[in-house]
Amino acid sequence: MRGRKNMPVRPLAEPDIPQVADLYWTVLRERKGPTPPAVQSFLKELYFTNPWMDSALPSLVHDEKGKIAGFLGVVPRKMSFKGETVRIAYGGNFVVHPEFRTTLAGLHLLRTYMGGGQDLSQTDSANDTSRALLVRLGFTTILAFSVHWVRLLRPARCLTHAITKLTESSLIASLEFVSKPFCGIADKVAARLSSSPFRQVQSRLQASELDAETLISAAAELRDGYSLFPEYDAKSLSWLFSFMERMKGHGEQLRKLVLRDDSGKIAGWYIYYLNPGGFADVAQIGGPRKQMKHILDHLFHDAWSLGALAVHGTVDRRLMDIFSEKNCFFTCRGGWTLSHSRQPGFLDLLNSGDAFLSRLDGEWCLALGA
Amino acid sequence: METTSEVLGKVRSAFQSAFDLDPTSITINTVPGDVSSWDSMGHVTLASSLEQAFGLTFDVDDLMAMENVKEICRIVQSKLGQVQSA
Repeated sequence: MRGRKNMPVRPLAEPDIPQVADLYWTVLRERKGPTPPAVQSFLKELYFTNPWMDSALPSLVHDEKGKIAGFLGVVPRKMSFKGETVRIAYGGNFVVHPEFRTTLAGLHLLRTYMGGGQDLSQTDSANDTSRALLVRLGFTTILAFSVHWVRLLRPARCLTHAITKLTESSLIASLEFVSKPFCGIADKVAARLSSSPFRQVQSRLQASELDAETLISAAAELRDGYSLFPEYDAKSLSWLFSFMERMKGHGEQLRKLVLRDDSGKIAGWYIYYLNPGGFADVAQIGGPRKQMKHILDHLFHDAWSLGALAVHGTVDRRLMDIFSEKNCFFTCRGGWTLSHSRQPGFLDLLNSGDAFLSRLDGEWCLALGA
Repeated sequence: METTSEVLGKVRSAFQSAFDLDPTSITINTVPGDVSSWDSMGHVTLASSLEQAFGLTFDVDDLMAMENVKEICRIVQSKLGQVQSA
């Protein structure tokens, strides 16, 4: 591990988990009270039993004489780059204890992480502050994977929901409650009017539960058009699905559906977190371009019928026109993707969008829910 | 070539610009622990202020080596020397 001689950064060890859990809970999540035991289990499973574990790419702690002052979680992922397997180290859950911030622990952790043996260092959900820090250290913002789409399903309820979230006032919250029936009527009309951009269309595709084996075979056909794509086997993908379902990182229920046409052929798939009364968060949408409109129709109808107010995800820029046709709007306010590599070619490739990457393949999907 | 005291004067101005503090509170012996907002994010803000003040560019290794004011002055002087001899 490259670094300064006196730098107290070392690999995370299992006995560090209780201290890291406290840091995660009280500083990163800004929660009061004792750290729930589930946080320790989450961190232990994520950083010591994930199927991509690689002792050469460990998570890091900043150790100040036995006290864990900072933490940077690293999850390696294997990807195929022009036929060769490459190692990507996703960094996340980056936190420094406020008492130790003037030790520049954050910089030391990031520098050690960047100097690791991976081919590419990446994060897929950086906020503006981390982005500024990472860019100064040599990371590049990958715009092709930082564009998010939003499709409103219940526009009236979305509006009151957004106002309530922005103002955090109890008066406004009660107005949201009072206006709910009226918004409900407006939203029903919006979903049925043929001229409405929020109209719900019943897709002709048939849905069934998506399992790991089906996704691996379906993705194998689609990814051939890309230079970089994730390498999964049934074991690693099953672990990931189970982890996402149990940790509920971005919603109450993980919906994984494979869609088939009338002949039974796979037309596409989607994986998303459902939040009834809130935004549904999409981890991955897949399928050939010619089927994408139907896949989106199915997704929107599924989320709408289960009570979501809107659907949100990151867009493959090759498909932006179709998302636009389906009345999605686009924003970069949803988490930045940033990358760093010492190898030439990677960053240009990512910036050109020539990678079959989704939120399923990074650290976004490895979060712990509320 | 600027003297150490001239460099320190400009370094103090950069601290004032980055952290909005009294520049006279910065001495050659100041370390991050002496300035409450000199954390990792503050460090990169300070680096940008130093770049503006001296017309220099710092790479990541420079950034990591700037552990205190003494080191900042040393790195700045070394870089200014390189610029003059080029």
